[in-house]
Amino acid sequence: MGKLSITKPLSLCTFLLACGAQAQHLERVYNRDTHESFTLKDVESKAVVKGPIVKQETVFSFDNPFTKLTEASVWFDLDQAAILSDFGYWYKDEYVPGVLMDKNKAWFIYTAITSRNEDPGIMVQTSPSSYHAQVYPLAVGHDFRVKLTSVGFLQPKDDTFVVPSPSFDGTQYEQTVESAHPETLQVDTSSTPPKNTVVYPKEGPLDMQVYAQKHRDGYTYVAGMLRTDKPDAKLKVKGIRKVYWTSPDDGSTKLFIGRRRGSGKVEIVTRDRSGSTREAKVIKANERGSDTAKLWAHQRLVQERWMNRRDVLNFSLKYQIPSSQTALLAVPQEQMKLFKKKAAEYRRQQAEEARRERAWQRNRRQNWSRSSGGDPEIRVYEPQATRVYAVLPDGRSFDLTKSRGGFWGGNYDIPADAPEGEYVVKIYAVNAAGETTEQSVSYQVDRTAPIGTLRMEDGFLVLSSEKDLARVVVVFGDGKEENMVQVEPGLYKLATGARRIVKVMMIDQAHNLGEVRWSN
Amino acid sequence: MVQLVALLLLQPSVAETRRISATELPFERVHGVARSRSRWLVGGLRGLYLGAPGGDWREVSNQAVKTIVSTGNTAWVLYGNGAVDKVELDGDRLYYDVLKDAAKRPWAASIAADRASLLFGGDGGWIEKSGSAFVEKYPVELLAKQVTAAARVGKELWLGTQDGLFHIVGGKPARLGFGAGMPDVWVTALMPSGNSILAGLATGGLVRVERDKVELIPTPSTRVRLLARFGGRLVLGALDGAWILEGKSWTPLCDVEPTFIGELGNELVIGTPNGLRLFKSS
Repeated sequence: MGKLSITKPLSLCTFLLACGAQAQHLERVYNRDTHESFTLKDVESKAVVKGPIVKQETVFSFDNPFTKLTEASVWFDLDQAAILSDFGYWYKDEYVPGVLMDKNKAWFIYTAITSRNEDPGIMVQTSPSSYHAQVYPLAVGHDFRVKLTSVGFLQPKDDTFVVPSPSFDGTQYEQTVESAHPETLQVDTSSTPPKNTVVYPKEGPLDMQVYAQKHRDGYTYVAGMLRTDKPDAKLKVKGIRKVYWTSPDDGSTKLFIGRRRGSGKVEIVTRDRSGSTREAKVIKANERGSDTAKLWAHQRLVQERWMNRRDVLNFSLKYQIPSSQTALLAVPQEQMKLFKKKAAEYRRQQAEEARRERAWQRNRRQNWSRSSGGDPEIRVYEPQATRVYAVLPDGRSFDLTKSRGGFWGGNYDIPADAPEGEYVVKIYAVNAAGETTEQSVSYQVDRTAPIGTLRMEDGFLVLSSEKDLARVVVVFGDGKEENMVQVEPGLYKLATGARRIVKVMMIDQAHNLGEVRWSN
Repeated sequence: MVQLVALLLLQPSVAETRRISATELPFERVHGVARSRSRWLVGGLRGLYLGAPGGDWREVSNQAVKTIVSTGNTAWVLYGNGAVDKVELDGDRLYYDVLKDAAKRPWAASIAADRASLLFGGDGGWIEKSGSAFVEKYPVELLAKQVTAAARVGKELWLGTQDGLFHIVGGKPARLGFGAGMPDVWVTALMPSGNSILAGLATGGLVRVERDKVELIPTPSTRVRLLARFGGRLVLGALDGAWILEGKSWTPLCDVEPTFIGELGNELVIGTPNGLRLFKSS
């Protein structure tokens, strides 16, 4: 797998929560072929508040009037600090959850299955807070239902916090809200839909709400919300590490996510010219879960600079969060056999591509040009070709195989009994229009050992032989070896000093060996 | 009686039993074969195929195969691009590119198997697989040298390169080249022989090396490419034929270039540009 240089890793540079209290905002849902919008029939949503965070699960049901094979397209976004934790849809009456995987793999399988008019759904992240899902085809006679599950933060509003509502096309919908501390929940029924708020009494000039979960990687991930009278003061966090901050736009509230080993104390200190304020909370993390870890991982993906596609992919898969390199693929049980076959096919294709390619130097077209026999490899650049084949000097032909970057390659054999001389391999490239172009590569069969004469000249041992020998080695009496240097075509030199010279070995490009004895 | 004994001694120890022509194989110029019962795995310039001679062949890979080494029912396939696949013939399982993610330099130029481990000659060093663990060594003495052959004699490791034979003593490579008496520095094949190592050379014939003593062994060809052992006897493959060592003389097995020499069951198999030749001990 080649490295991908992501010069601008992820485009989000500032981390502001959206103003509107919309947690899961479905922007558009339409038929991909006709572009007709689907009509929303129902929204069922449930939110669970856990300290400063809220987990929301919403099912959007749409009328499906289409009687032909239809591909639905769904565009939605979340608050920027929120992360999608699950996506799925119903195929007939079966709920089909999305499986997070390499985006390339997901598209390979989705394309392979949809080409057979089968039924998967795929969801990709188009920006850190925006997503696009495709489902094809919809089960005729059944409503189109999609489920989104996300984790995000409550949204500060005056001295309370709003539980963001799901919405479709700008309209917000009602949801049920639960909390382990129901006394903190308030519902304003005068607005449509009813507005759910959470009231956490503010304790002093620096107030902190935290929620922690122990993740399966052994860390306890802590999500926190800070309210301070000194929004511009310097902040120092103790008790958690690898902390990422995000700031809602009201200025006085700050969100943070970090991690630590086990339970302990998290302490925040604000410091400015007027002095410092300290607030501490004890973290117990009795609950196991991945919600806070996902929030942390999402911020790490957004705020760190990632240079390698594979690193982004592995990190996303570890924390099971969507990223620019992953997709959620939902495949109904009926198609699981085909899915597994396609997944195996993809793995095989990836493995083939990942094999290390031969290091071609200076874009040469073959790796040997002089030989006494063997299996040279040939390579040509033919990006437009649909077929490339080579015709050997003895009339045999073989197809070259397409590899990366428009190159075609293959091996041919030089018979060990081929007479010495120059040979030409013709290469024909055929393009989609049926036009054929021709090029050729040549090789030389050489089985003649090089010969040479030696002389001593001004303290230098000088060899006269054929030009461009692969190596000329001087063997000394003590068993040491040194290479001679070609100073002009066919002339090789080495300063030998007083050392006793035994012989000089000449090796040509086809590895024929010649020897000249010397005594001094 | 004396004449009968003399006649028996003159009888070659192996006899050709059959030939499999290239038309029964997926392609010409086979570079390696492995077999489990009736299933054959054949590798060569046109890729890797599974099937049976004269029957249907299924393509496993379209990449050129350099050699196949068998350990029990497992075949290790070395490709020309340096990748290695593991194939379990009985279980019909293929493990792609076993060095990828297992080795820092997932590239091999040669494979050798002994009882305890597999040796992969690499780029500037070697990779040893014993059990499921891969151990890699890249000593500075082998920098930029491809290890074209590897073999172990007792606990000592010998590595062949295109620039000399290396004897690994105490983890440190000692080079044997022209200065040590090697007639050629391109080592194409290695074969343990008692306490010594036999080294086939690209144009220098065959040498026996014990510690730092190099002894030239007379051979019918000096362009050695392959060394094997069959029934305890040395088999030599060169650009112009293959021979088996009978006592002190070489008995010809074929007079064309062998593309590989291996063993299938109790048969010696020699690949040629036109098919396979199989021999049995007589």
